[in-house]
Amino acid sequence: MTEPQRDPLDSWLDSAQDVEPSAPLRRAITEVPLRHPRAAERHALWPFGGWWKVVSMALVVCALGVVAGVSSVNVIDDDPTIESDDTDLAFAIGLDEELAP
Amino acid sequence: MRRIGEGDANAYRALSERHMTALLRYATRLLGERTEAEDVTQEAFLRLWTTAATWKPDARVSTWLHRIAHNLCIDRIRRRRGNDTDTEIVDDQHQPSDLVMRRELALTVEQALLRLPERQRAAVVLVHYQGMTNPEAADVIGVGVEGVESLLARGRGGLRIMLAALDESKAGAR
Repeated sequence: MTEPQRDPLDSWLDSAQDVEPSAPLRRAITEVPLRHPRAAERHALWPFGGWWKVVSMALVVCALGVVAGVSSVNVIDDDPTIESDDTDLAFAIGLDEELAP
Repeated sequence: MRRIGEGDANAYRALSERHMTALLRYATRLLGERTEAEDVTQEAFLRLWTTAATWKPDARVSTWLHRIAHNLCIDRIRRRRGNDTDTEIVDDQHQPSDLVMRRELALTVEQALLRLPERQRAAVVLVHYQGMTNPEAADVIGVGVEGVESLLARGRGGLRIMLAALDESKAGAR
């Protein structure tokens, strides 16, 4: 069996020289962790992630505040026609005081 | 990459040792200039170190690194466009003749590659020299697989014309 003939263009391309990393480049690349702070180390100082995380968390807190505020309106009701157990108690105390000799 | 993301400098060193040479060769062939290629290689590894924590495994690390280097090279090529970018010709007069011939041939190939449009050059270099598949090369360049096939065909066609012209000029010189 004969091997398929190689494209002369590929042989021509193979004659290009290969470069090797120089010693200073090797050193510069391997020293990157020493010269540049890691994202993980910055995370220890600012554990809230990126600015968008902080903003989205703030928005969620605001939304929860609005929901809690809106729902609490029904609990504190100023309508004087509605009597609660508290008002009965208040009236009862007032009546006892008036009936006292 | 997970270990690098957690700040493991030894994992970073092992990975950089594995990919440093390939990345430098890619940048050198794309830029045609050693010093700039070294800057690009260094910058690519700096990005690897600083962004490893957010890395998503949607591609091989090698493809991802080549993509970073490719984009940095294209930025530099666009920035220097219009400036004089003639490749320095080495004076080989005092070297042995066989070495001179090999060096001349290598220089001719390098100059022919540099004459190709940058995306065609990138496609030829990624597939021929970096040993990538067409889909991997497409991922690096940021085009579809059909796009990279077209770039490759046009690039190789252009190189074939240059090779033929070189052969003709050699034959004429004899």
